[in-house]
Amino acid sequence: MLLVFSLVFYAWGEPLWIVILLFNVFVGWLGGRYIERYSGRPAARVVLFVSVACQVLLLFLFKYLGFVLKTLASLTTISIPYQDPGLPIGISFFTFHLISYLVDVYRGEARALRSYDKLLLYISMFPQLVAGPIIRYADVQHQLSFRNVTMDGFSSGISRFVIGLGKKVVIANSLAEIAPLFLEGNLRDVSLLGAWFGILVFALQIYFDFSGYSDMAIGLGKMFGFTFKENFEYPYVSTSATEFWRRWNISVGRFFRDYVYIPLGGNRRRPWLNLFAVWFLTGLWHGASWNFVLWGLYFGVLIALEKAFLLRLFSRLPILAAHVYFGIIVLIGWVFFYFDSLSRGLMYLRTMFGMSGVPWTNAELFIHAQNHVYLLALAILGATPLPAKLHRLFSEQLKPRPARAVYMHALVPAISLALLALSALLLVGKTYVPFFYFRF
Amino acid sequence: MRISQMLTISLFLAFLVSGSTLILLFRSSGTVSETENRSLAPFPEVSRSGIWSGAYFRQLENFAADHVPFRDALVDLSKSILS
Repeated sequence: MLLVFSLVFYAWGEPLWIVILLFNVFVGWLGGRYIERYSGRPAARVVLFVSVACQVLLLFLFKYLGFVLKTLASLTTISIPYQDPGLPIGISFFTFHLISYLVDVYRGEARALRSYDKLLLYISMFPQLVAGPIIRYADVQHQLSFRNVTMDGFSSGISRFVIGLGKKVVIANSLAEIAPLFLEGNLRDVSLLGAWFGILVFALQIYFDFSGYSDMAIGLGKMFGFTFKENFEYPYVSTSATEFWRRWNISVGRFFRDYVYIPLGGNRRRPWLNLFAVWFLTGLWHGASWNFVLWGLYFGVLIALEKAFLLRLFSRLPILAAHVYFGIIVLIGWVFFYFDSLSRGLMYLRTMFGMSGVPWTNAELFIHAQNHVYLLALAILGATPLPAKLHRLFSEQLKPRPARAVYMHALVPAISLALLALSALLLVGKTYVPFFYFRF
Repeated sequence: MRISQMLTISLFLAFLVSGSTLILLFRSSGTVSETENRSLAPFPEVSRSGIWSGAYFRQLENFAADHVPFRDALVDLSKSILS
């Protein structure tokens, strides 16, 4: 039932490329069976290699071939005509899920599946198919066969889903209207503090967007009896790049650690090369463009520096220093992430550090900051653990007892409903296309 | 079973059911939006290429979004919340 629904959901957006999904899962299923049959013998390694290579090759063809050819054309005079085949939705996610399955079977951490359907369900489960999080096969193998839909899970899943929807529709979509005012257009019109403001808004936008999707996936999973691991743990309260990557998109970080860094030899063999490979790939995974690679390597370098001496240094300074350091490096990182044109990115950085001769502030900054002060305050508070802490405090210790009962049994469900209604309303409102020239 | 869970689940389901019933029953029939000065997305025609490329489903979504009941009022409300 869930499987049929998931496939319909995928076919809705991608009627043709569902063939790729079915094919990849078929290769994965066959690979898993043979790896288990040959387990312990060299042949298992060969099957693993071939089946993983097949997955990676398809990902490469769809996602990275155009990028490689473009780079090649700009570096040399070789120009190969290329027609973009379009990107099958969620291909990076299902490729990674299949790799996780094959490797887990090879390592003996999980049994190969006899039924093709069950593997297809793991790959195509609709809550996480499009935007993750990446779930390790070994973590959910039991749930695929024995999952329990409970009242408790269903209702907390609903709350979680609604929170995620609100994060995306109410906060991220509104922030997405503000950030381009500073990041797009003529960068010479942006003031120094305006540049910091613009990238801060973008940082909040991408957090609410991405973690909102993860919340919705985790919530939907819960409603249908799956328990997925958390993907975000309040990344902006970090004090270092190292900590940030333990709190930001945790599932991707874990995937690269378990399936790239450690197999390459971890920190025992060629640690610098391994670190480089992991961060190169982490960057590239976020998008087929050099600015994402730069963004990944930037964090790789920072993490290496922190390991070498920075963390020791900050442990002797007041904690505020570490927060300031982290705030600055993460915002610089988002500049690399946002601008796919390196020259515009560098120009923006020059503005941020007062090297492009623009004023400190201007009227535009004040107007936008003032107009959106409540939204920004909400977003900043919402990115900290404070709301969750307050909720726990109220639901466990609010006195007198009747007040707590009212909070738990009336207020929380009512707020859930209100948030759902508000999100639906804003989604309808988003279909509105303003017609600017109408009055002229 | 706790009241809060019952309430959360029933409110959620009630919202989904009533929302979809409203959409099906009170579909607005206009073809032009006066306030936006544009024609609304029409009900898409079935074609083989449209189905395979996924364009048909996107058009269907656009049609549904443009024909939500009381759309003008809802759009006004959402604008007043956002500003």
